[in-house]
Amino acid sequence: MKRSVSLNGKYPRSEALIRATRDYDRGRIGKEELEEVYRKDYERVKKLQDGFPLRSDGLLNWQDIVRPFAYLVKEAHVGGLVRYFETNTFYRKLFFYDVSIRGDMEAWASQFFRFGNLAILPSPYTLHRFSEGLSIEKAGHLVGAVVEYLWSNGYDYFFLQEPAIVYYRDMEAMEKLEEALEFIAKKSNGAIISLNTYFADVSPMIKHLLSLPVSAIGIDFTFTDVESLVQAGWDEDKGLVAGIIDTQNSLMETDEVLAPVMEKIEQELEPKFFIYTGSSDFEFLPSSVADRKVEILKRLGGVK
Amino acid sequence: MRKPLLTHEIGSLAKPNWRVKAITGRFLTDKDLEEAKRWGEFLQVETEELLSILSKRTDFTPQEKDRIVYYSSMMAVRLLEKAGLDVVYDGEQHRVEMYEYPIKRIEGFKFYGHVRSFDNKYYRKAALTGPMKLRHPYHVEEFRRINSFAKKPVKIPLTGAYTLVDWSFDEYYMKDIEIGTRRGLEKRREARRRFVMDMAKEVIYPNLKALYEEGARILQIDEPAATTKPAEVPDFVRGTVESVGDLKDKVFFAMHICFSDYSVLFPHIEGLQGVIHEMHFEYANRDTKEKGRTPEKRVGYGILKALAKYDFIVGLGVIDVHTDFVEPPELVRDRILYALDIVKDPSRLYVAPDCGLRTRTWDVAFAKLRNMVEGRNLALREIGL
Repeated sequence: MKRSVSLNGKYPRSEALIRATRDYDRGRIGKEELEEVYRKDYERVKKLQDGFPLRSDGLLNWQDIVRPFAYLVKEAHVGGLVRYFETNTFYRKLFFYDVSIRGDMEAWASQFFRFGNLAILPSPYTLHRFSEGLSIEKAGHLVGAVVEYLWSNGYDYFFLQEPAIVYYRDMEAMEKLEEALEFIAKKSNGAIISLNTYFADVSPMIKHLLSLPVSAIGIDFTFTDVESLVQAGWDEDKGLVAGIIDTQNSLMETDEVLAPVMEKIEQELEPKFFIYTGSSDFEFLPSSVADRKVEILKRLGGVK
Repeated sequence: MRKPLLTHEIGSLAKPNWRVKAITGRFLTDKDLEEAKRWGEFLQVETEELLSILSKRTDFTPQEKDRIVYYSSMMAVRLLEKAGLDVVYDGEQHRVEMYEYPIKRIEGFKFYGHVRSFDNKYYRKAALTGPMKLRHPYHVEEFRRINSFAKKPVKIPLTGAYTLVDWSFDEYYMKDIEIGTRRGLEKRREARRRFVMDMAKEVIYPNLKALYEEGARILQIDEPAATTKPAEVPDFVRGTVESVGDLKDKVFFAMHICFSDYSVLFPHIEGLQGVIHEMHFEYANRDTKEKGRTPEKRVGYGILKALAKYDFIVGLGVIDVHTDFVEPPELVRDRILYALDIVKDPSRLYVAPDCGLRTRTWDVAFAKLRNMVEGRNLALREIGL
């Protein structure tokens, strides 16, 4: 797998699912009817990835990148809205009281990981940062337990979504993050784990990121100049999850727009492997637009 | 417009069920008609014509729908007047909301579908796909109508340039810009600046000017996105200056920003002095509900010290719009007097809710606003005015 493509983060719900979730909230439809619309939408997202080596369920029923973890532990509550970095979207802060895992991992995982071989999860630092009462270490244990379960149930790839560490440039937290990632890596010996950063220029932190015990680093190229990475030098043992499809804008990327960055990645940066994907969650786009961007990815990956 | 502790609203109010159902084609129930009658009587609005139209229950003609909106607008204005506000508006009874409504009236935009805001809440998002052109000023008719029946001065709110840009995709200025290269990154930043400035020049200024020419003298620019991208705050400031242009000495301009990290506005908002006259933020949402004038009780008002250094009139949010808790007049009084200790001059302090009250029922909104005015009156008495 030298060159590949994949989805990134949460994938947008279809207009039908959007209507259904609204109708459900207003009591116009029941749980079963909603679940049927979800089922069709998962099918849509599955079909969209036909031929992809890495396939994700799109996290369609995740209300935000950390919410499912409130239901994984014995005692946590879901708090108020907080702006999700510099976007017009919001997540709910989680408050953890007892972080021991609630009995049935299988039931939890079957709810939040519906199909595929790529699991997308919050990285320990971002999970910690979006919560109260959860250290990076404990966040690592939670994520590690999930990764271990999924790894033993057929998942080969893990994207750990880590926008916070680069956005806040929190160098002091790097050691703790490293320990947490080591714990996770041990739980999934041999899995491909990528630490996906976005929403910030990674060049000031790239050397530290490359030293982390993960298989790949994800980079948002709407913020980072690839030349700065070439100058800093890449680790030949590390892969790159290259966010070159702008998920914050509906404009379709042309070959002329993508060619310079792809050329540099492939000929000058020379990572161990590279996976082209969205710059961050595809969810920032309406589904019709996201679907068209996935077609671009297919072309880049030579997916028939 | 310099009155000590002047009171005003901030944009939206809920739309009555009878108005929503009539416009969206849903069948009106007896309860809806009773609601229209009850509020008409309470606000002393003659509702004979309205009730006659509503009694059709469904299939309203465009003319009938227009009369229904007319009555919801008049009732909303009367509600604010009855609560005792000094400056009034109709709570956006003529509008859908603050993004889709203006964007639909600007050439060059195309709606693609919904994106999620949070949980199961979504909004329709548009992309700019060609040059922007204002079809026609979109708030003039609304002002004309409200002004025809308002007994108090009218303030018209309008979504600002930066927020319209930030909530839209850009397929026009961003076209053909490389990704992942230094040159591309710089061009992206420049494209963003051009988008904001053109929105200000081509859309917002003509709207403000048309309102001025129609007689509007109090205008509010809403910029909830102003602090979303801290590095772009200077662009937001430049966009506002361009939007207001030569109207700055002819119209009283209020700026409303809410649920934001206000600290990133400083020191850039220095550039808005002399352009924006009142700077209104939300505070009550961050505050305790306890009476008192100590910093511990008034934790929500911390940013005032930074803001008071500038020459803006401080628009003070004293009503939390996200709860049915009706602030007692004494709590409102203490919030005002705490702020006055910092701002010093009561003619530099205006009193308002945190934001629009659209998520509250009219009963709750009225109770909150009435107490807000009563709290203001208590504060005036205490300072001997």
